[in-house]
Amino acid sequence: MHRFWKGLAIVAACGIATAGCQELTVPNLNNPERERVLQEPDDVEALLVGTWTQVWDLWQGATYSSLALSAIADEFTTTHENYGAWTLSSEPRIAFDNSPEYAYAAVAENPYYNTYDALASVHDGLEAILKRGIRITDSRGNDLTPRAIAFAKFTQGALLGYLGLLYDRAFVVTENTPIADADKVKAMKPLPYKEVLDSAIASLEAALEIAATHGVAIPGAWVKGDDLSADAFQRLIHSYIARYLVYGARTPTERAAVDWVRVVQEVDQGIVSDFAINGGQGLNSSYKQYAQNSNCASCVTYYADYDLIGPADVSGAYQAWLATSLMARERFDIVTPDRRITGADGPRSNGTYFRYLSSTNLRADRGTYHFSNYQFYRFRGEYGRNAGTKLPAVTVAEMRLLKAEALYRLGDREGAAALINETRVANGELPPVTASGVPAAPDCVPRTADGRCGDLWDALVYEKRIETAGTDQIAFFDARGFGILKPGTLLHLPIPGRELDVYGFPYYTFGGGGEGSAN
Amino acid sequence: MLRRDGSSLFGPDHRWNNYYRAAFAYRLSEEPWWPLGFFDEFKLRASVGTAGGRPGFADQYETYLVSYLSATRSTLGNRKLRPSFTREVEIGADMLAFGRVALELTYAQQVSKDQIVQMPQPAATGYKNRWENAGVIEGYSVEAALRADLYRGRDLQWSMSVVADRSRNQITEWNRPCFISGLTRHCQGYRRGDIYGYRFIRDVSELPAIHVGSADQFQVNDDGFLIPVGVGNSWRDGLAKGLWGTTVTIDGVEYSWGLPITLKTQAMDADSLVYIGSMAPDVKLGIGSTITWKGLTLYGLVDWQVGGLVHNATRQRLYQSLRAADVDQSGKSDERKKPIDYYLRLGYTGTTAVEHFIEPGGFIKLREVSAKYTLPQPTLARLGLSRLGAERVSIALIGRNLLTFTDYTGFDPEVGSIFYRSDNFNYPNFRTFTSSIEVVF
Repeated sequence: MHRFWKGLAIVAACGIATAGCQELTVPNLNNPERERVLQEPDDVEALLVGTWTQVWDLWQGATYSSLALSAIADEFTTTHENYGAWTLSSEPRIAFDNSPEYAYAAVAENPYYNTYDALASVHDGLEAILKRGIRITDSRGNDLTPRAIAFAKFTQGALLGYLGLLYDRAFVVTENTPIADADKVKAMKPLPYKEVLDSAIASLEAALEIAATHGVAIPGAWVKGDDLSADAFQRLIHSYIARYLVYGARTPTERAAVDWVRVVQEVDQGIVSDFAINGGQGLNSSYKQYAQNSNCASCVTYYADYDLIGPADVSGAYQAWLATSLMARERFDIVTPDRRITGADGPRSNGTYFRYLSSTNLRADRGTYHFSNYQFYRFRGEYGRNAGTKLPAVTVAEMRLLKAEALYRLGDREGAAALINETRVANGELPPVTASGVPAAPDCVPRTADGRCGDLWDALVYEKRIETAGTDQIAFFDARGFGILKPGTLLHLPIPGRELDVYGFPYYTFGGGGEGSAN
Repeated sequence: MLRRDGSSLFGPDHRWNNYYRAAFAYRLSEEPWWPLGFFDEFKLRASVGTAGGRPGFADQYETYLVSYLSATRSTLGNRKLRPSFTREVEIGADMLAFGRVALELTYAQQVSKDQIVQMPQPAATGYKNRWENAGVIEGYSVEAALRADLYRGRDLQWSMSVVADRSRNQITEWNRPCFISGLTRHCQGYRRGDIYGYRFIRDVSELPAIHVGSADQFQVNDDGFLIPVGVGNSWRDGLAKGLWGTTVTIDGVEYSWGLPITLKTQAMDADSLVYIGSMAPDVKLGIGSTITWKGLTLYGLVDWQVGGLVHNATRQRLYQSLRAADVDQSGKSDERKKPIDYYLRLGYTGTTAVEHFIEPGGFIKLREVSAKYTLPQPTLARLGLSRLGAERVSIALIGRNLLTFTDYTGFDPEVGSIFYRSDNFNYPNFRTFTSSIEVVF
């Protein structure tokens, strides 16, 4: 018996010793740990470059807000419940349901969380460079660190600016924010959108300064487009500054109060050729995809809203449609001399930017007032899949029309008319406007809701919407500043309810005629 | 019993954990005072034990997710992750009477703490979620097993068994924002298996208060939905009066004529998700029978699920693409014919369930029938198998999932698990036939 107990003790001791010494630390080889990414200069650069994807996705990629915002801006229209597009664009306009359980909570959540994801990457990359002294060099030892910093400040500004455009308040996260400390993050206060936009512009200005000092050129692979020379990169940054100066305005009053002198300066230093990404590089535009999608029975398809192209109609059909009660509205053909909307062969021929669709895959029970006979087709269905195609993000036309608006507001109506006419005449094949507006004629374009020939402002709004439609998601930001959102449309999104829960803030929302609704 | 477990899946400070189990049994039938002599065994038992749940492999690592174009964060790992901890208390009784009837009764109660869940993080950290220990789920299960030797002869034996069980689980502590995932809602107080989805109004009592004086302008149609028909019309008039595709205004609210109306609750203006029912069965039964006659053994097993709902997502999807049999109007009288908008209204809700497609999921299944024949020794010898060293040779034929009796309209109500039955183009359980020859040397 004595031997038995002794033997048992030895076996137990061996067992415990073997098990106890088991090495239970297992490295994760599937994905890199944070510290490891931030040690290698190449990885730090790759981390910063990757944030461009997020900038693209916010404006027109797969973040689920671009099409809903387009629909509530009456740019493109649908009855498909494509991330809330139908619900939010139906009339009368409703308040955004800011509960985390809302079926389309992604409209507010995705742009929000994806932006902070990218801002945190900018933070980590810049912190590694600025505070831990990581230096990025090429194979010959040339210092490429300023290029990475300038690009990081550019995407940081672009990301923060988008938050300022979309949300009423937001947290400003830069390389100086202690994001790794959850308690400090919890103690942060969200800032009103104007301050968020100010910090965005400050980041873009910082990017400009470094870019100018070091003559930073950006490889095309970084932005999935053509190489950006030092000059082109700085011009692109100026154009983003111009956007954030103007598009942050929530109401016509705020839009009128924009620093238009500065807008002119930024546009003058801005892009001189369209900034586009190249197809086949992995970036897609959901915005361009669904706006131009086939109308097969099972397809999700958007059409051109009559509030976008209707002002081009000279037959009176648009005015009749507007005068019809909402549920009784039916789609109609547009008679117009604007060759962007239709061809010269009549209302059912394709224009250069829009095409005619005789059938629809929309649902009548969801309101035929959403229907349209026309669809945006400027890029012939391209949205990023195919190599050899270019998908514009920021266009010269957009910048030119921003300047036209600035000149109009600064009192230079002739100057504004001249800028409007550049696309109006060349692309629309329409007679030029003058300082006093659209020359009176039986086939004048655009026409107002009561059928009159539009004034210079009407011509500017029409031109801006037609020329920028489908290029980037700016219709909503313009529409709220122009004061043409349908009454009750939300002016901006609230901080997502899911985030409010984390901070213990009460839920709030906008739209539906309450606070933050268009009049 | 004490156990110490080590696992590399937890954070560095939480890799080793202790668990225990204690059991107690009292064989009353062994006591001299036990009065019921026909019980060969009467045992009361109780036990309490703990166990730990493990996280996924990557949950402790604070990594980036590297995809084609960029490194993103999504979910933050947690180096302090502990096991989820379940304590189960079980009581039961085991009985054997007349040497041939056995009954086991068990009641178990589980409390699971520190569930390994994704908790929302402040967005400014760059992460949407973090793996954390949080939340409590409480539940119980009851089980009864009865086995009886019905006949025991020299050549013939017949025994039967019946096993019945029922379980329920409820989230009793949540501590984070509620969310909908598929059919179920995750929130404090919610039970596993509850279905949330859209419901269409079936009765005037569900109409918005504004219509209190105009209930006569709505009628229940042949599908059981309350539809807007307007003054002087009946649900049969759609085709006869050309009402399909028109609108009808009742108390200032504009409706599409004849289309079902979504039940709305107080939650703002969007269509509301409502509680529809539970996927968890009321009780599950397994009834087995074994008959042995000389070398032949016949076995049969019937599974019976009482209650429980199934989401027929397949049928809903077919409504959406207008391919469901219900959409075919041929052979219907004109007054019952409906336009495609009617079916789109019912089925076109993306992935959200609609009550119309929630079906009773009870079933009776002939789960298994098998026959096994063991060759008698003389036959073995005659076939010369004994000389080859074979001690025993059996031939068996087994059929599984042979018959299903159910009210469910899809292929098979037995999809997913008992707490989550969503039939979304699933293959049914296969009917299989197996034959085997067993040779023991």
